[in-house]
Amino acid sequence: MSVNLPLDSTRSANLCADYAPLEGVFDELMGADFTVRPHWRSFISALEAIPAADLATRWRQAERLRHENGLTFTIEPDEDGSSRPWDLDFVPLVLDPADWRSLERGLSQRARLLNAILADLNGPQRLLREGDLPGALLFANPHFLRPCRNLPAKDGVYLHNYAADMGRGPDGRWWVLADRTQAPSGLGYALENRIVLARCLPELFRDHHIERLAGFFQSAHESLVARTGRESPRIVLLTAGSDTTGYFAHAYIARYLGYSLAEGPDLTVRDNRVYLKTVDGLKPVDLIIRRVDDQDCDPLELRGGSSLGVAGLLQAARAQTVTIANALGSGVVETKALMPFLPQLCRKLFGEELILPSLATWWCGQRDALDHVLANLDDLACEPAFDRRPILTSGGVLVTSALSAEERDQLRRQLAVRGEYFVAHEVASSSTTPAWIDGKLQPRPMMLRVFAAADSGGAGDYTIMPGGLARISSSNDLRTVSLQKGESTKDICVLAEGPVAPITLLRSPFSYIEPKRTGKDLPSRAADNLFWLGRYAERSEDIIRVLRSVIRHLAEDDAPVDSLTAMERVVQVLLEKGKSGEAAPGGARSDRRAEQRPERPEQLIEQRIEKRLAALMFDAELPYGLQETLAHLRRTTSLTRDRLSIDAWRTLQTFQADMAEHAQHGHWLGDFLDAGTALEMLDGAVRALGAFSGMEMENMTRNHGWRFLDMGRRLERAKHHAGLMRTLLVAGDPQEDGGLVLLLELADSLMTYRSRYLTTPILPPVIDLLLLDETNPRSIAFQIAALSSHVDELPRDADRVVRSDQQRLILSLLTELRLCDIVALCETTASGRRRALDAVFASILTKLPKLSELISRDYFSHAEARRPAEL
Amino acid sequence: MIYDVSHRTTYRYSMPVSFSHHVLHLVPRSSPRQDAQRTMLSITPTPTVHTSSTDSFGNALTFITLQDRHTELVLHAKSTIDVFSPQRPRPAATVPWETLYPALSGDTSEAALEALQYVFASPRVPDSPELEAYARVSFTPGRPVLEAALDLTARIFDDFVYDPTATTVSTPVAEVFAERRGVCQDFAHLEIACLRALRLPARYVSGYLLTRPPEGRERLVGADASHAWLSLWCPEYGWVDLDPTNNLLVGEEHITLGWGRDYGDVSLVKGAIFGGGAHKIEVGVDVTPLSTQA
Repeated sequence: MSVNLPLDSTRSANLCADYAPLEGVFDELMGADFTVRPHWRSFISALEAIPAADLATRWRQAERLRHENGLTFTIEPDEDGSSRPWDLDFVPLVLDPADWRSLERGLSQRARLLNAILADLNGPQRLLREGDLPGALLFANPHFLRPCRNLPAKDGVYLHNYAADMGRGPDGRWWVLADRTQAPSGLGYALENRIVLARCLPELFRDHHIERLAGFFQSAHESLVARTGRESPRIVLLTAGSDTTGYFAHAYIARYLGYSLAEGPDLTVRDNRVYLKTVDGLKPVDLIIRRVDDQDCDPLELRGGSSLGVAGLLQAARAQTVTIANALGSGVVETKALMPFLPQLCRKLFGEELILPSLATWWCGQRDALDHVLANLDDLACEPAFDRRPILTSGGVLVTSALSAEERDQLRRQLAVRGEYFVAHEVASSSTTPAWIDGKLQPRPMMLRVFAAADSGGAGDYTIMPGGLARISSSNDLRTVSLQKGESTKDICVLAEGPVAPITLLRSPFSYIEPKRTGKDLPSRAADNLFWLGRYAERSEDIIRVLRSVIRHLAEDDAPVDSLTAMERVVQVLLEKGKSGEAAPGGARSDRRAEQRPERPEQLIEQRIEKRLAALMFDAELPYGLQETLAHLRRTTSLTRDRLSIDAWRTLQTFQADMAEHAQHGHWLGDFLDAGTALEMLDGAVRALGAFSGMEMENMTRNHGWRFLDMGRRLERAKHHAGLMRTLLVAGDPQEDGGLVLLLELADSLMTYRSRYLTTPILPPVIDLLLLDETNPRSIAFQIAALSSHVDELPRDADRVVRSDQQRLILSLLTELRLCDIVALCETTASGRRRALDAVFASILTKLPKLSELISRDYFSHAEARRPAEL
Repeated sequence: MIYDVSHRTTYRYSMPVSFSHHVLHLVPRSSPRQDAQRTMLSITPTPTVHTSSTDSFGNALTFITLQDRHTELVLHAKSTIDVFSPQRPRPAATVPWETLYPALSGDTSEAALEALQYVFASPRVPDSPELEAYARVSFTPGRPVLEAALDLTARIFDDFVYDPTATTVSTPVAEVFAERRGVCQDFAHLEIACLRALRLPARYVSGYLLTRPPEGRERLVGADASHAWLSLWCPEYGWVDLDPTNNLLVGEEHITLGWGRDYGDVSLVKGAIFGGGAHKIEVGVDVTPLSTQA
């Protein structure tokens, strides 16, 4: 994010001195006579009173807050799908109470009107039968979804939330540029802007009567709750997923309002009712606030290939077991093709005049309108009536006068043949508002997004949020169309006539929210992802520690010749975890190395180890290799980012970026592994992963989410060490071949050993320290004990008295370890094997994967992927 | 002609399905050309939820949810349908095709609004300038709409190869047009796209066709398959069914199951399945004429 900030500390005390409104355009700040409008005056002087340096500090703090919430991307992605950093201009748009009240009345009426039209078009279609709307306008609209016909709605409310994009004409009157009726976006950004601004400029909010936003959220929430007909409904906010641009805003709003954030696969329909899959079982959902398009909401009856929705959702809606806001199918009234018909429809349906005009628009599906458009084409802009697909190869909205002669011909042909799919509208100049650009206030074209929510009563009225999102264009191009790509946003401050109750937005506005100590509704998929995040974070660390130890020994040449065998075996253990087993690692460089004739016999082993190290480190195809593990870690991190603290998330992000950078460049000096650089990278990696696990221990509340993350880590670590120890300790003489030292080093326990025993490592105490000692956080017993206590805390049927499968399994393992006799473990058979020790490791290595399976079966498996089928 | 139609679909899954939702279009509807007398739909295993309703095109729709683990699903619809002797339209007596849409778009009568639903692009029948050009060869200025449509039907029959290996249920029309091969569903979509490119109302019809046995041999049980064709609306006759796969005006041998804008609106079985692994489908359709008298 970047912030437009007054940095010049010597700035003139008069902010408006150089401000010059453009000619023939309404300016928010100044009238045509260059005087500041009355409602801006005290606001501007308050701003002028703040020392610039002060402001800069406060703004930096506020910016950090924004980053913590992650709201750093645009509301709508660019046409190429990329998202740009999102600017906030620190000067809000100030609106006076009378002006706002007229806008409020107009918007409320418009929302009511669109709801009535929606109810008719998806219902009896009287408006078509009585000739008020042409049938083609509906039937050509791809957002008219047949399966959404005749859905029931409490109080006749389909449009629970509505947003309008607004502009102001040269005479100062408001008009509507676009209606948003499906899943209006931007509310999260508006809220966030306000919080930042209130942090940054508290005196403005203290000294001026500015309408608060919290009341709107509260009443919107209450009316939604009322519509579910339940006392305390379970509410989910359905998002399209963590890789979509709106996700942070969705997560933000969900957190603010205390809703569960869910993706399609988190929900399931059974017995025509929607359930949230949680680690605590299936929980009925009463209200879905969706941020997913109509088409994607039910793969069973709507767009089949989509995985964003919930199969059977429409059936649940028909059965009235769930309220969906907005109702499925509400996208049909979003089209600009409706605009020319609204005044007449308003008279017909309500006997009222339409208060808020739309930008003059013509739907080209009717002869008269089309003739008018073709005759005046050069003064108009054209765009698709129903979607945002480009008409010609370039751009979504075409300002006809800007087209070449050839393009104009092409457009005329399109309009004549497929007019139903197009609208044309006036190229209107938008009003300007002051923006802080290049160290001073300058007029910039603006567009507003204003939000409405249905009231709880049966009267069909709407409440308008007293504020919203102002979007300002970075250029001086006044044509409203260019504002669609508004590059910066502002808060909208609506002045109140009297004092405003000081509700702070930083606290939840809802009095009924009791303090909670647990996150009970942990969606199964989130738990699954956290579990695997734990496993992959630990696996990365395990691999990196092995690589680091081995490379260090090789590089420092301090390893006794004997320990080479141990190192080779350790590296081999890692390689064999992958399917490739004995397969020769890839990489042209290592092959060239292998061709060299060794000078010393041990060099042969070193070469072999290095070759394998190279594969472990850089072969992206190698299962269980570092690159593959990092790829999994990256994926699970991004899937769980709404559950990680910003610091933990950043730590992992930076770590992964570093590793990717290293993987690209490799670590070679000629034909030799560049041990110095590799060690630097691996040291950094161990520190970064250590920082992450530290934050996980210190910063995450002990809820189920943390528990699954930690279980993943414990399980992975126990498995890893059991594998290593089995390889190095079961046969041979680990005391002599360097195996013990290596193990202690890999388990980060060398210091502990030395402080306890003051001898060179010998087998029994090492086994105790690394296998049986429950006080050593790197021992296997510690992991098993931790797993056991986690498993005890997992949700299960309260009336079940016997131990669960998971409990029995982990308890048997823990008991087995606790009953171990070290002397017996160290005994060797005639063939030189330590059979009892082997049996312990075998038990660990079969029971832990089994535990993982059982956890998955009981807590995640209802999260298995839906397989769409066209049968 | 009264027919007994037995339509049996069996799904076998390689892994157990823990849970599934299905939407079925397996119950034939009545229309001016047939009387769907009765249907018995049996489903094994017995669904936990079983709801019957009517979709927005007027087709019978069945929703089922299977909440118990199963490895096999059998859907068996047994219907009795009386298909009436068709009226033979006079193609030359229909309106010039260009006049049809302008008249229709200003008409708010029930029939006109019903027809208007089928004029525009739909998910599986997108707009296509290529198909418009192909259609215009038949739709010369002023030509009666049904005459031109029959000409188009014949051209599709001649220009395209029936080839069950060429396409799947999701092959786009553009690809069928480019490859010049496909099956009944593809040809129906193709002709619908041609007609809609000219703003003519055309709908997709799903149903069954009585296939005659080869000379001197018994009719094979199950040899008859589900079929698809299209229907064109003209002011004189209402909906007239055309079969581009066989190049004919639909008669007594076509039994209608349902209709929509395209296959997606009336697909026989749609499902969302949890678990299941790979699946195999076995379909048996049996059309038995009961009598020649209604």
